[in-house]
Amino acid sequence: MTTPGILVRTLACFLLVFATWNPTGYNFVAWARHSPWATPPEIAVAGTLLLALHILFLRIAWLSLGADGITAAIAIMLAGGLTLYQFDIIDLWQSAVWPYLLLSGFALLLAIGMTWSLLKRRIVGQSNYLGTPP
Amino acid sequence: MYGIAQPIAIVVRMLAVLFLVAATYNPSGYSYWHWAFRGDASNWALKIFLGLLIIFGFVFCIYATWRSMRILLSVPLILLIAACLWLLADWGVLDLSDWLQRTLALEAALVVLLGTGVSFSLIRYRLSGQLDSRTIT
Repeated sequence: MTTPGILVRTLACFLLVFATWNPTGYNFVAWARHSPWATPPEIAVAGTLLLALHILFLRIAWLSLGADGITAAIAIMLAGGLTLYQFDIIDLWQSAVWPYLLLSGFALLLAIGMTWSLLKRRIVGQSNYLGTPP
Repeated sequence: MYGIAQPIAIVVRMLAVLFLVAATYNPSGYSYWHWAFRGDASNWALKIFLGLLIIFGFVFCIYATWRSMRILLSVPLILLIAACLWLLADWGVLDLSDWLQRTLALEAALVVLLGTGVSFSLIRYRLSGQLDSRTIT
């Protein structure tokens, strides 16, 4: 588990979340609904791929964090967002900010889940072990 | 390689725990405690954020200590640290009636306890080849 490893996983989570949907109009949902060139099989392939990736990432995050870990991560991210607001880095009264905030929070949560087992093993040497591969 | 308890790795973990403990509270008057609870109410969001991170850090360390040592080793280690403090006091190196020295000694004891706990799964793996793992499915 190296710093580039963490960055790559974080980047992959952001890519997955923002490729599925984001407010700019360049994403899977908008493409499937509005593009005149999107054929049903293309949509099916891309859609099932994204669905499978979402299930994989969510399952990994859930297994590595659990309910307690997810609660803690969300609480820390909420406080972090509030801090950014207090220092005028983001303006919560501007509604255009919210989709980006929520998507980033979700992507960060996935990234924490993806890296947590590796980080914990590296820091304290305690591994998470899958009894039966889920 | 990861997962092997090298001396420098244990020192780094001890220093990290020392940073956590000393940043939370230390007698100099410059700590999270003094900043958040003894100052004014400015930057409250940042204080909440850092407070949550500190709570997370302590929960993480205590959980790792508990997982790696349980009651069977953590109680003897606490007794050993207490005995060391007693010995130092007996030698006259440490004056436990002095508030400053007592506070610093308690913080050092906490750092040694949690630092050992954080490193102990790695130490045990290197010592005995017994890997600490948790089944999550």
